[in-house]
Amino acid sequence: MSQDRRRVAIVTPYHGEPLAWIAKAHASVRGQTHPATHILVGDGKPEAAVDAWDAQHIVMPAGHADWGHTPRAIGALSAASQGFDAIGFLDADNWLYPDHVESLLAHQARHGLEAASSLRVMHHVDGRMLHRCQLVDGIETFDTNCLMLFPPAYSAIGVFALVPPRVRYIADRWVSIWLRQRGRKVGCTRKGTVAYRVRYRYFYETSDLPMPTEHIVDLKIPHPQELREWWLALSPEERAHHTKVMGAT
Amino acid sequence: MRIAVVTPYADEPAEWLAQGHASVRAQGVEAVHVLVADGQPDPAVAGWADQHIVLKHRHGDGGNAARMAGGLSAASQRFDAVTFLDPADWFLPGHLAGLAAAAAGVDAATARRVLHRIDGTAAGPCPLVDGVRVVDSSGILLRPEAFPAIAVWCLAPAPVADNAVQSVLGFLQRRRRTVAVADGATVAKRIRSRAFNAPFGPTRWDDRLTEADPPDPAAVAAWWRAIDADRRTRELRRLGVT
Repeated sequence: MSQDRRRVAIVTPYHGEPLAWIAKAHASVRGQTHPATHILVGDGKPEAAVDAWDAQHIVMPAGHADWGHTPRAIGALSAASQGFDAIGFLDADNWLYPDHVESLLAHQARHGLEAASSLRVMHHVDGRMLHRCQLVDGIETFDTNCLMLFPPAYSAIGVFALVPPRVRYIADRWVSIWLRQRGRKVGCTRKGTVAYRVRYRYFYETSDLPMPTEHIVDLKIPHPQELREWWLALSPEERAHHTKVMGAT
Repeated sequence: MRIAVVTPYADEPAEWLAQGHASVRAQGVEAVHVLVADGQPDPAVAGWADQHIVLKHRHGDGGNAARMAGGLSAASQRFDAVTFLDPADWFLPGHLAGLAAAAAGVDAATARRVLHRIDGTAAGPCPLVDGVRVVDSSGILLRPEAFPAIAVWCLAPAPVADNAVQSVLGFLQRRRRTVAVADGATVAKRIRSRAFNAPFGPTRWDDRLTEADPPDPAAVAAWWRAIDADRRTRELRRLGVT
């Protein structure tokens, strides 16, 4: 077990994922080599079973339909309010490898970081390991599941809920931009410690893997250039407004 | 203007919550009342609240995490403004209209307050809350460009978190958000401190009296002045001011 005494929270929003997946995510938090408190946020579809787990549970009355970003922000700021020393994230369909928290804490301590990220490993919908993700580099492009924030970066948490709706599906990219614009020191462990269950249809269509028969979604991960083009098409006043709403200025 | 009113609650009497809710309903302004239970949800409240959020783990932080949860949810739902109402307080007529008018063209608005005894009878205007340097948690309204301040409910430094609204105001000022003060004193503030209520004799709410006095805004400023430069830098960074 880790000798580091810092209190860590891992936040998981959920909305209709299979209970077995949520339970796997929870077990992976409980199985960390550095202890972590799991905060689950039911976004419109609360599971009564979660109340019996060794976890904190927040129940939202209706889903925010924003890929979990608002419940993620609420769970994380709840953790900040409780004085946790570090806050990580985990989607309900993914899970963490046992040394995820420990390796992020060690990397943060070694380099004096204010936010740290890992890499992720792609897994089939059925759970089997596929390969290291080629997109997420942990600095320019990171996945929310890979991210851990430390107190100087806690003010970035609200960004998840305040990103313009048009591009909220990639709120993690906005958080990345916010961290850079506000001068927060970010680093990456270069270790793949997040198990990312790939549910995107296009992923299977462009591979030689058989198409799963259930739990598939049609959303395509956008290329960063798409985000840039949308942003540049806005008027200066619109860009200034969105930047203020997100708290970047 | 679509306004969300966020009320945190824990174990306050249902009668107080209902009074607050009725005062929101009586404003004559389109408003959605979001109730947030901090550890102790009341099924009756869930029945009449427009939206009801439950923090099953009690934070015991004077409602700060609950204000954040309701406020951020409302911001995400694209309300035009978010304001707050403490569970023991209520709005006087014209409160929301006054805040909305004051907030036109600015990022946030504040309202002053009238102090009330624990039984709900008026005791007089508050000499302390001016809406400029000192605000009440039931008397601040945020427009979208002030929504980043919602997180501050949970990021206020622990020693002064019992008066986190002062940190919210400080965040707005230091991040150059414009703040206007509404006309009149339109927040009815129920004071629960024993010392405040003692001169007026016993009431049926005496079991709800608290030994603590209301938070002293001067204590917040004094705390900031007393900490060293390194601590101040850390706290400002955590708040997102720098």
